[in-house]
Amino acid sequence: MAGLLIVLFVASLAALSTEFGPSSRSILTRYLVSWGPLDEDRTIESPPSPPDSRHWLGTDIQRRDFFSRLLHGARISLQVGLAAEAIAFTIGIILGGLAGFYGGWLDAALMRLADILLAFPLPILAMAAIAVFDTRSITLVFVVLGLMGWAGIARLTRAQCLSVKGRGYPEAARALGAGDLRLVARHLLPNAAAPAMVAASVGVAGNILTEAWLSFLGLGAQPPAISWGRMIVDGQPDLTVRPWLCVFPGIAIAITVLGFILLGDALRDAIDPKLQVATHTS
Amino acid sequence: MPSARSLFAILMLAMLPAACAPAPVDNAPAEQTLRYRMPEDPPSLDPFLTGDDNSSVYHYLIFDGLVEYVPGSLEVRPAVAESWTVSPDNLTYTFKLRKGVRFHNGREVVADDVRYSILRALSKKIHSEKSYFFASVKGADDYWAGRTQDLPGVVAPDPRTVIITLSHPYEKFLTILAGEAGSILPKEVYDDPARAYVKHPVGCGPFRYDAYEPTVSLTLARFADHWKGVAPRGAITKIIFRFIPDSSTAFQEYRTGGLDFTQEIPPQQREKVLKEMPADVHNSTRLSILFVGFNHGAAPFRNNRLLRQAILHAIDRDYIVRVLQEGKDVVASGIIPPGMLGHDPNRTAFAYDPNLASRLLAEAGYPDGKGLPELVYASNQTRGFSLVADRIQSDLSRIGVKVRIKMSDFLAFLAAMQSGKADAAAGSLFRMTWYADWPDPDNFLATPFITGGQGNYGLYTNPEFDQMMEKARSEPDRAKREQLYREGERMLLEDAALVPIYWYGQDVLLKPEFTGMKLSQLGTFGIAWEEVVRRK
Repeated sequence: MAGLLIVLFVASLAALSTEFGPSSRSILTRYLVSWGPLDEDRTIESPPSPPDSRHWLGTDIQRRDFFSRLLHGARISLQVGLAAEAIAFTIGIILGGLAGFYGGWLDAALMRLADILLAFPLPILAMAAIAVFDTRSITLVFVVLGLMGWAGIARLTRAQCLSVKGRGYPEAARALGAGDLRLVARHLLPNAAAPAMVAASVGVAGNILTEAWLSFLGLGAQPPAISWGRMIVDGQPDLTVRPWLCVFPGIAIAITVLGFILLGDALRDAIDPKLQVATHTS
Repeated sequence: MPSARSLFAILMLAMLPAACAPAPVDNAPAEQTLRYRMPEDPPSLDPFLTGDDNSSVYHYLIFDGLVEYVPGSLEVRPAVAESWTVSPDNLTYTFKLRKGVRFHNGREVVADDVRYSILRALSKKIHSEKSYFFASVKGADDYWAGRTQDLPGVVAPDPRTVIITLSHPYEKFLTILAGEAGSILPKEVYDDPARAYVKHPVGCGPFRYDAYEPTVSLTLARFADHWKGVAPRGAITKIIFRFIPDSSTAFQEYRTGGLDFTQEIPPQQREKVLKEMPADVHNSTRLSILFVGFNHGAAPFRNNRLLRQAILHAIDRDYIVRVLQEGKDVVASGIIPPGMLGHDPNRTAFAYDPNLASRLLAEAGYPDGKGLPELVYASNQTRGFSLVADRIQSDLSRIGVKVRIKMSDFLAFLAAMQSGKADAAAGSLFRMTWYADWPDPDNFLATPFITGGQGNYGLYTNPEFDQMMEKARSEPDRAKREQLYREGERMLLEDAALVPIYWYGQDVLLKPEFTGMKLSQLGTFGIAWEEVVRRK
């Protein structure tokens, strides 16, 4: 429940901060924070300035309100986390379902493909893709994370399908004349999807971390887009002098990731308290 | 009864502690090591194959030339050549070599080595990066292009005489010989097809190659037979270059005593370090500039002076220098830096004025940026350059100009620019740092802006400016020359050919027990470490 609340909270901040640009002001900046994420406080003499009543979390070196930027940073984190996982989930469910249902050579082929993908560290693949396409965009990051991240979900779905297939009711449905599609869509997947959803929730957390990591290396979101990873790297040289520049975005990432992991746990409890499947795959 | 011989031995033994004891005035031990931070391994130790600041440090120490810079100054004094004469038409230089100058391999330096070295600097076969330094030498073009096998501009009539003839008078020719392009190399080592010299360079400079451990360190040791004579007591006898990529790590290492010299204060710590370690910090300006270049070869900047002027007035350069660079650098009021011929101390910096910029933008046909495509700003990714890029993006968005920052593949971008193939999508604005190869505006003002110039990445072309630079190059009268360069600089600024941002400053940290270090405006490679002494 706590996980759901955290996720909803972060999501609402992200949703409220959707308008973007130096002149446009989002709902959030219009009513809650007096500064837009790109607005400069030209009265500041020696940025980055420390937290005070005017700027709750201080400003960055370009005199921009750090709190406002932190809130806007939620967008990219969630965007990448959710979009990448949506892609991975869709592909994983379909391929895992196919492998589990049909078995045989299709199963073998798909699972070897999954093995190959699992053997590669995801961030390295993302870096390779960035190098190949010679572009640094957040869309590329989540597409790559999504396309490469389905293997875990597919394996989980396949295992569930195999176990469900062995029970009586799919066979009964088949005896009543159900076709392959109906069997998979109405009987196998709804029963097999639950653990995959739990895994996906944890996967979102993993994607958020990967994005932060790539942005930290300068490969993720590009300015003026704001990302927490990028904020950390910008603040890193100041760590000993102005720690808040690193600490706050770090806390934001930690809280959001924690939220998704708690959500995953809660989902598992809600769906099947007796579920023993290892869902914490990464 | 002890014999006379044993008495003598006892006496000598008794005197030993006295001999080893520190001298009353100068108590420095004989072996003095300087531990010097380098960010990375050198790409090559061949002085003609690299042009980066860090490699130059080794080259200046390992190699000597006919002449050298006076430490801490841009004046030239005799080195391997003990004297020289210049013909009345300023075209012929006759150098007399010093006697008894030896290479690190023990062989004496002769005039043929000087000739060989200049030919090698002009060799396309070895892919020399120093060829353009000798462009003014008679026959250099033909030799570089492979049209001739001989270079009539350099002759060695006897082992101690070198005669260099220029194709046009060039007042600053000696400064070219004083830099690493003027390094004298022993033929037998540098003609070796096995190319052992890449790893084990041999010159006649004050320090010789000693050891190299990849990714860890490179060590140079004092060359005992150097022509400047025996090192004074307390002088540095060994320099260990330790490779430490991160400036914060290097700074910590310096603080805790693992380094004696580092050429960087970590970002955002300058104020603190200046306050806490005033005796360690040395700084000076450098003969280099950071500017924002325009792609003059393509729309929207091609033939659009008003648009370029709008950009010029929209960038808050004072903020960049004061906040982002922490006051290390100087806002550039022109192009030619302080300390170089042609620098105009009375030129006032053009104003940062967003309102004027908006008006100019409207006059250029893009009111509030409407109708102007998104500009691409190309740069390489270091923390400092990223901050400058963010600043420019933010400043230009204030007048309605949208900028996308492109941080990848900067070298590829520059190559594309130079070949004329880069369009506005690859980069319409770009960051450029220009270092003086030698202290003269011919290299600083002409090379990056004359039509077809080797450093003219922005493809700027202005026939009037070209003619003026051509005239200035061979003008023998210094005052007239200076006037021509000032005029040329004014022309570029009025045409908004570039946005000068700042002239570089340099901060170095050296442990206070070392004295006699003179920082050169050319860069850290200009420090004559052989003249630095340790007091403790």
